[in-house]
Amino acid sequence: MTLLGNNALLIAFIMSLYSAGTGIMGGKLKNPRLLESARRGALATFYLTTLAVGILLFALITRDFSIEYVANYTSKSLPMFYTISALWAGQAGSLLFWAWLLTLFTVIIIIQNKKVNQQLLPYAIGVLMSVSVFFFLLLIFTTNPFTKIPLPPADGMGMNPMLINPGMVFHPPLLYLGYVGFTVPFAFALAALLSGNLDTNWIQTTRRWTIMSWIFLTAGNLFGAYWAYVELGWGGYWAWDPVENAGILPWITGTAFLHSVMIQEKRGMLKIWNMVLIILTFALTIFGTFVTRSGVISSVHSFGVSNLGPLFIIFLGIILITSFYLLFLRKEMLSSKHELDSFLSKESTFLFNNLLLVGLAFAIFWGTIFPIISEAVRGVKITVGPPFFNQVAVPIGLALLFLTGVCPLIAWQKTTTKNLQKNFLIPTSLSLITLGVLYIAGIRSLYTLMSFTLAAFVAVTIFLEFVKGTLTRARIHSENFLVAFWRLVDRNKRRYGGYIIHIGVVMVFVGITGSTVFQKEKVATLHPGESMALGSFTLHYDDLTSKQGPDYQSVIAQIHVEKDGRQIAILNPEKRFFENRQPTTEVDIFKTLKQDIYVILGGYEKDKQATFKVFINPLVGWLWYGGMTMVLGGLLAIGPNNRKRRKNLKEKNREKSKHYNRKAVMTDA
Amino acid sequence: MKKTELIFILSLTAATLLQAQVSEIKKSLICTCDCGMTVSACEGAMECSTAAKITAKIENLVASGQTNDQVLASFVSMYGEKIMAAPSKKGFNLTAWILPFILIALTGIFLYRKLSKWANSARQVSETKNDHALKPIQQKYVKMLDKELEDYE
Repeated sequence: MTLLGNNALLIAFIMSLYSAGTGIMGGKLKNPRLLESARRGALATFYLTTLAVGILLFALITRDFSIEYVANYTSKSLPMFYTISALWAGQAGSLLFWAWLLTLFTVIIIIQNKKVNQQLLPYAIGVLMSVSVFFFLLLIFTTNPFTKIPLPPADGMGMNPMLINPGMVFHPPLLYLGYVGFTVPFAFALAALLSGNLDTNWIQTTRRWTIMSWIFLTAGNLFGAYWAYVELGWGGYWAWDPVENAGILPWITGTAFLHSVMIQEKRGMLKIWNMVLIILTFALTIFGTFVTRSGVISSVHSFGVSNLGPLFIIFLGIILITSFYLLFLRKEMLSSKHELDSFLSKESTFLFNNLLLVGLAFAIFWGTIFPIISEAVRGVKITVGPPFFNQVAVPIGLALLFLTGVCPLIAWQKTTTKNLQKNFLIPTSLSLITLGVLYIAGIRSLYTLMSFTLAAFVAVTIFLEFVKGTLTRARIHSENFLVAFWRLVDRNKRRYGGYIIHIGVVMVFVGITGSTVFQKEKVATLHPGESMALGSFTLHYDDLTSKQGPDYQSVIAQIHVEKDGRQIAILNPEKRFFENRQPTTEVDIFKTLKQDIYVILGGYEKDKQATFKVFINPLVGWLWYGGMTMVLGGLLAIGPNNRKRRKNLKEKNREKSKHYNRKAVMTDA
Repeated sequence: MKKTELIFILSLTAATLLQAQVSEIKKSLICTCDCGMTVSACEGAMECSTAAKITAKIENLVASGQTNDQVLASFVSMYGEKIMAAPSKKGFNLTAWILPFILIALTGIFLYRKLSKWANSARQVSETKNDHALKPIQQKYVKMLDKELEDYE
């Protein structure tokens, strides 16, 4: 089996190399036969990679411990659900999964563009397959998932207990889907540069891919944060770890790209800037992979130290040099006439939004690599952790939130001062009322006041956009409000999907601010029957019991939580003890939209005396629901455009009827 | 209020203040167990003996009357700068803090000037068009259109 897997990878490597070459040559020579050959090569690469993935999955499911990867990440007692997830739990498996996704996406774009984009497609296949070549090189020569063990163990090492969590099953594949997804718009951007077709075609062709990748990255980061919250047991969800930063960086530049392409589509401006953004986004996905897999920057989430670092740096260098060289060659063709009707226009706010997003990405990138820079310059290794990122990212984030609210109030091309005053009146008034209420309630922290006030400003702005749109539509088309609302959203999914994403952003800001600023914590050592108070809650420690798990011994505390003398929850935080691994802490959380009560069982004694750490995390649920809202908004934005579909259908019918009329005339004749 | 009650309340307040100080310091230090997290976060899971030792040391120093800066300085002298969760705001480390904001500010000024220039050039073109190309009747319609668009928005 391993021989078959290795050979599949080797032939896939050769096929991807061939397909990359024939794709680019086919595009250059405009030779349809070479394009066809590139297509078939890509298809063969996909089949072979699928075979390799199938073999590894089979080995995992059958617990073939003669394969090093299987022995390192599974054990006989590991449940099947997590055994399958072991495919991406380790370095080699996840690289194979990545390569498989890339070949799958290549096949999908080949099918999607079977009859269109014949000028871009060969180059796009060439670029996608070139990226695949790199991953196959890693899989064959440095991180082979089919490496055999001479003396197979009776049982495997099993998965790291912290990875045994549903959040961790979905988090990596979603991130990979996002990372690999951004390869598609990047490939089409390079195809546009290589072919010289530099209109908006490459953007329109990959619009859904871009939003889909963005959705996957949003969901992936959200699952990662949720996993950290429920599994790592420190009461938080984002520690500004280098690997976490690596996940958020392409998301930020991808967000900038999603906004910026709208200006190119509407006004034909910023062609070079959009190219730069998609190149940076793809480069950051590779940078993220480098951080996670090289071990160069220490992180609790990384796969550990490996020899992959230099290879990723070389690959990153090749990507950046090639892309920017092509961009330089085409800079004359990409130059566009820059004219703005007014400084007060949506175009301006989008550009400032881009500035802040790229500035934020730079700040996080800079903080992530600063320990290496410091060591190189001063010879002193330093740490750049949460205090730095919070201080740097918060003001930029708040400015972005402000622009999120301002943008819908300003029209494309120009906005008159009168209009500006009219549009700003209600949102500004309501947000100032919010500010007053917060101040009276005793909140004095500037950032907290700004965050909630701006959140109110954005929420009101978006609400008014829906209201104004619905009323206008109801008036013009004489529809009732529900129908008008439905059709308003249905006929402009991209715009209103975007607004729903912004509602999600507001919820995320509320969640982050609430859970950071108002978090309460307390540590207490109690005997059964004793209680502790935190905020308006009283936690009664009832008992300590033990239980045998599949491969661990568990010690579980029972606590009941009271508010105003009424029991509201029973919580069971526990500690798990494994034979060959460090013990883990399983927190228990009572979740409401208002706040979470988060209980960690620390130490305990023979007489059942136990130490608990309890957090009250206000509004943290808003973060998860906000993230989900962003995903839903994104899904709406890529929904089928019914108006376009109807128009196409009409045109098709017109063509058909012309054809029949012509036929009828001929028959008559 | 009885004297004992007063003493009890005062000691409770002092203990709370000390706990807040300890908590703040724990958020400024990185645990030396190589987890890469702050002492506060690493201790959260209550698995790390290193974090527990650091916390005990912080508590001792705070109890002896040291300020936050003094406690942090004593940890830096023991473990080096690496133990701080964020770089200091002096010397070369200052670049970590200010470079992102300098770049944003400079690009912002550049962007503002560019946008103003684009808007001016567009205005000039449109004024020339209005002066020469549009007849009075057309200008009337342009005004009407502007007004309708304004109302629609």
